[in-house]
Parts: sequence; structure tokens; C-alpha cells
Amino acid sequence: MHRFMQATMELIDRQEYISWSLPKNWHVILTSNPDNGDYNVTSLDVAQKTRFVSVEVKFDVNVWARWAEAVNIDGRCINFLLMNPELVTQRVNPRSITTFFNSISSIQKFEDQLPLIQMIGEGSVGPEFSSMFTMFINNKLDKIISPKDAVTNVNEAYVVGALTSAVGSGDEFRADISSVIATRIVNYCLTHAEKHAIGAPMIDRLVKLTTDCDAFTNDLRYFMVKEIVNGNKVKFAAMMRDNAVVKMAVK
Amino acid sequence: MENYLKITMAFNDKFYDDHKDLNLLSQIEFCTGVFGYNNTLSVFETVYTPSLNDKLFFLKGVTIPRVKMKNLAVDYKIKTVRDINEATHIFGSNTTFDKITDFSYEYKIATEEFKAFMLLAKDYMDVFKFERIQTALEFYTLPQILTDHNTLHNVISNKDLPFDYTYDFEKYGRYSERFVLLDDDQKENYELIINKILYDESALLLHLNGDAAIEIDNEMFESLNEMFASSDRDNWTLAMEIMANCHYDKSLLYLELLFCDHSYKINDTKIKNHVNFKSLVNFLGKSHGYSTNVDNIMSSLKKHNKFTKENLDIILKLHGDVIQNQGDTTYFKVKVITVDSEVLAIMKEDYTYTMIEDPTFEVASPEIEEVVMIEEEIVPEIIKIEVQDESTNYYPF
Repeated sequence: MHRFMQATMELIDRQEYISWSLPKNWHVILTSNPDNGDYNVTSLDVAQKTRFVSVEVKFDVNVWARWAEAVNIDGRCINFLLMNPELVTQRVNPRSITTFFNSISSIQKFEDQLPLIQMIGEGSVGPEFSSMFTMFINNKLDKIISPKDAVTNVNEAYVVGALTSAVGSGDEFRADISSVIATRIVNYCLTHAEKHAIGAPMIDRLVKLTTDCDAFTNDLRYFMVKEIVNGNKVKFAAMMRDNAVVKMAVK
Repeated sequence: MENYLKITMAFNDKFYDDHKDLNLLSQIEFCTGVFGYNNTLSVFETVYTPSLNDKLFFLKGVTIPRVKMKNLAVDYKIKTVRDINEATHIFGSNTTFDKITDFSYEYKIATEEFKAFMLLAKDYMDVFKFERIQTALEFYTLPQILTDHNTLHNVISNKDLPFDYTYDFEKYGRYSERFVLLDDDQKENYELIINKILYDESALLLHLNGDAAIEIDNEMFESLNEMFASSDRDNWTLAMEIMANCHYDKSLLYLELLFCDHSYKINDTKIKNHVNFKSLVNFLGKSHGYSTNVDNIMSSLKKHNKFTKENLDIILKLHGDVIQNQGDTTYFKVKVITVDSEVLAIMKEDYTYTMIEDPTFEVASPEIEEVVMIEEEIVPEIIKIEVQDESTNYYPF
């Protein structure tokens, strides 16, 4: 262990080890668990710590959601975590949560397998997380329209209807659900655009959702346009050629 | 542009060592170009009216977003062509000349003087190379050939040459001059376009966003200002996208004002390099950095025929303090100066000092107009008289 640490410190400190040196502009990034007694780690002394910058990384649910969309984590589960990011703790971390989600993703109808889901959940992410997830299913929030459906389903009336019924209206408007759907649509579009061409129908649908769909407030509409256009300027620039989008953006 | 002959020469290595056994090495090439700084492609038509089935050719330096050609393709069946011979309209930009040329500093030798040198140098050159140069010179009509520093200063004017030759620097000059060289792959196109009508890309840009494109008005201008004021750079990007997609002509003043207020931020984003935004930049004729002041705005309004009292009011409302603080600009002059209110209170009277008198404009008087009308009325009578006179071979005066 000591020899490994010595070699690593050489690389960090001098950017070289024996006759081997790092290419120009390379940066060494090390990751480790905290040295707080909860993890089995070897402590670093002060002389070592002062040779590099330490940054404590925090969980960001939006970053996780973007990653989850790209690696095909079950969309129902992504929705759940976007709505309950506070459930992520040191003990219930993204890795254990992802393991739990992957374990249950083959279940077609969550409501038919609640005891099984509760059991897997308690064994991986703990009882509090499992209970919240069960409540999520009981409230039928796992039935929210998927972003793929929202953006690619040819039946526009169905999509708008599904979105509107999911978020409600008037006093029953669920801003949290609306926000989750908006985030999911943004993430889906950007992930999809990485490997696929974006055709006019998809642009038209996005224009519809961001200008003429009551499921989203003006703030969320602007958020969607801003994130999508900035996320992939080449493929989504056509959105900004639509006058309705421009008028919405400057409202 | 002229087709110059460029000949470079060098000594063999041994001659450098002991000044014996001279063998002149030579290279020959043709360079199409012109001396100086003149842009020979600077005259462009600024008005283009789309018509059915137009075929457009874009010269280098034209930044037209192809995706925006869709409007013209649908409305007029206009298409772009890659063969310049098929084109009905050729478009260039103010950067076209720089894109199709390069420049270097070249030395010149009078052709006749070089011919005289060659006759003396004949015995010290490879026969094949000598005849090659002679053949090239035989049909060469320009008074000068190009060469490099070594040929002029180390070879032709060398005092150790084994023959009697002196180059007169006083007569022919010793310094290089800027030479604009046309790219080889552009020679054919250049010959074609030099005698044709070229259109400025801004004439086409005007039509690209279509009449349905959104117009930036005062309200939208305020919103875009707020977007630029945001610390979130993504908002700047959206604002720039909106600017790039608006109706350029109708939005001209507010576009200029946005550049005036936010050129630093615009220059600090990556989207400035996107072809869509570049087309806006080219339309407005912005230079690197996009720096814009009130005089630039006025020049732009003048160029696009947008001088109106309303536009001037808007500029002065937003940037009048610039003139207050800095005084005269090219377009704005301080006409009247007053003094501070404290001074006025002491003086107990209003005070202004006029720096510039009111200009006088020539206005056609109503009387002159009446005379014109009378003349128009009597024209038929004069014609009548003339006809009568001609018939009788009688000169009217």
C-alpha cells in the first residue's frame, strides 16, 4: 500500500514517475471515501493532503437523472427520485438506489407486486425509502406519461391530455409533477439527440409543449427551451426559429 | 490581377565556399496577384430580389445558413449550385477577397534588367534551366518579374559574380512590397466573376428569415436586455438565437443597440461562431469583437436607409449620455450649451450658448412649382408649333 501511495504521490506532485511522465495538460483526479470512520480507508497525512485540492462531491439529482436517462434506468424510478431527492443520504446512496431500481425494473405493473418491491427495497435502500416508493405507486405516480411518449407519440391530443391530467389544473395543479416531467423531457431529448437525427415532427411537438400546453407553467416552458437549445444547439436550433417559442422566451 | 512570373535563384554550395565554379540554381513559377492593398472584389450589388428558379452560387467567405434557404426554396424554388457556370446570381461578402487570396512580401526586378542578367549568366547555369527561363520570358509582357530576397540581394547584386554585372538599386528599388496572391484553386472562378455582377450576402440575408420572422420591438428589446443581464450564460445563448432568427431589416435598430450594450457578452459565447449568428454579424457588418457605439449604430441606419426621427429619439434616449459625457461624435454634435442650475440661480436668468447655428435647407418654393406646372401645360403647344414648322421647312427661331 505504501509503495502504491508513493507512486501516486509522485504522479500528483511531479506529473511523472521514474521515466514515465504524464502528457501535457493532463490532470489527475483521485476519488476516495471520507475518512470519518464509516468507511474502510487508509488515512492520508497532512503532508500528502497539502499536495492536492480536496473537493467534497455532493449528489445532484438532475445530474443523476441525466445519467439515468442515458443508461436506460426505469423511467418510473427516475420520476420517483426526481420527486424525492432528499431521500438520498450517505447510507442510501445513488449506487444502492440504482441497484434497487434495476432489481425492480422488470416488473411491468408495480402495483401488482408491492410486497416484493417492499422486500427488495428494505434489503437495499432501507424501509423509509421503500415506504415512500410504495406510496408513490399507490398514488399512481408511476403512471405518468413517459418523455418518449410525450415527444414522439403521433397522437398530439392524447399527449396533451395525458400531461394535463397528470399535473391537474387550478388548485390541484401539481407543480412538482410538472417539473419532473419537464426535466424528463429535457433529458430524453438531449440523450436521444446524441445518437439520432431530430426531425421536424419532434421539433413541432416540442414547440407545442413549450408554447401551447397547460401542463407547464411559463417558467418551466422557458426552462425546457433553454436547456434543450443550449444542450444541443445544432439539432434543436430550429425551435428558436418558431415565433411562438421566441414570444414565449421573451415574455 | 496580373499573372506574374516569379524566378528565384541561388548559388551552388561550392561557390559560397570559394567563389569559384559558379552554377546558378533556379526555380520558376507563375503567381496571379496584385501589389498593394486593393480589394478587387469590393463592389457588390446590395439589392437582390428573389425570382423563380434562381440558382445561387456562394463564393468563399459567404456565411449563409443552408437550413434557412428553405424559405426561398419553397417560395421561389431557388437553389444553390456548386458549379459557378450554372449560377444566375453570385454572392460574395466583405471577407471573400481575403478568403480567396493570401499575401506575402515580394521583391521586384525589371524584366529587361533580368533579361540582361540572364544573358551574362548563361554560361553559369544548367542549359535546361536557362532555356526554361528564356522560354518563359519570351512571352512575358509585364515590366517586372517577382523574386525573393536572396535572389535580389545575394545573387543578382553579388559583387563576386564571375561576370561584369551591376544591379542598380537606386533605379529599381531594393525593398519588397505587399503582394496579394490569388489561391490556385480560385483562379478559374476569379476569371469568371471579375466581369460579372456580384451580390453582397447581406442582400440575400435580408430574405432568409422570411417576412414572417419576428420583429424585435421595444418590448422584446427590454426582454433580451434582461436575458443578457442574467448571470446564466444559457440565457445569453437564447437571446443570441432570437437575434439571429429575427427579421433583420425591421429589427435593425434594436439589433444594433443590443450589440452596443452587450458586445462583450456576445463575444464571450461559443454560439457567436455558429453560422446562424455569423450571418447576422455579416449582415450588420460587425468586425471582430462586435464593439458598437452610437456612431456605428448611425452608420448602420444610414447604410440600410433607416434614418428616422423615431430611431434617433430611441438612440438618444438610451445613449444620449454618451454625447453629454464625451461631446461631439461623427454623427451627433452639441448645438447648445447651458450652465449648471446653481450658476443659473446666481445669474437669475436663463442662459444658453449656441455652438452651431441652425442649418439652412433649400426648400422648393410654391412659386417655382407653379412655373413648372405652366410649362407642362404649354408643352403640347410647342410640339404643335414645331411640327408645323418642320412641315414648312421653317426654322422656329
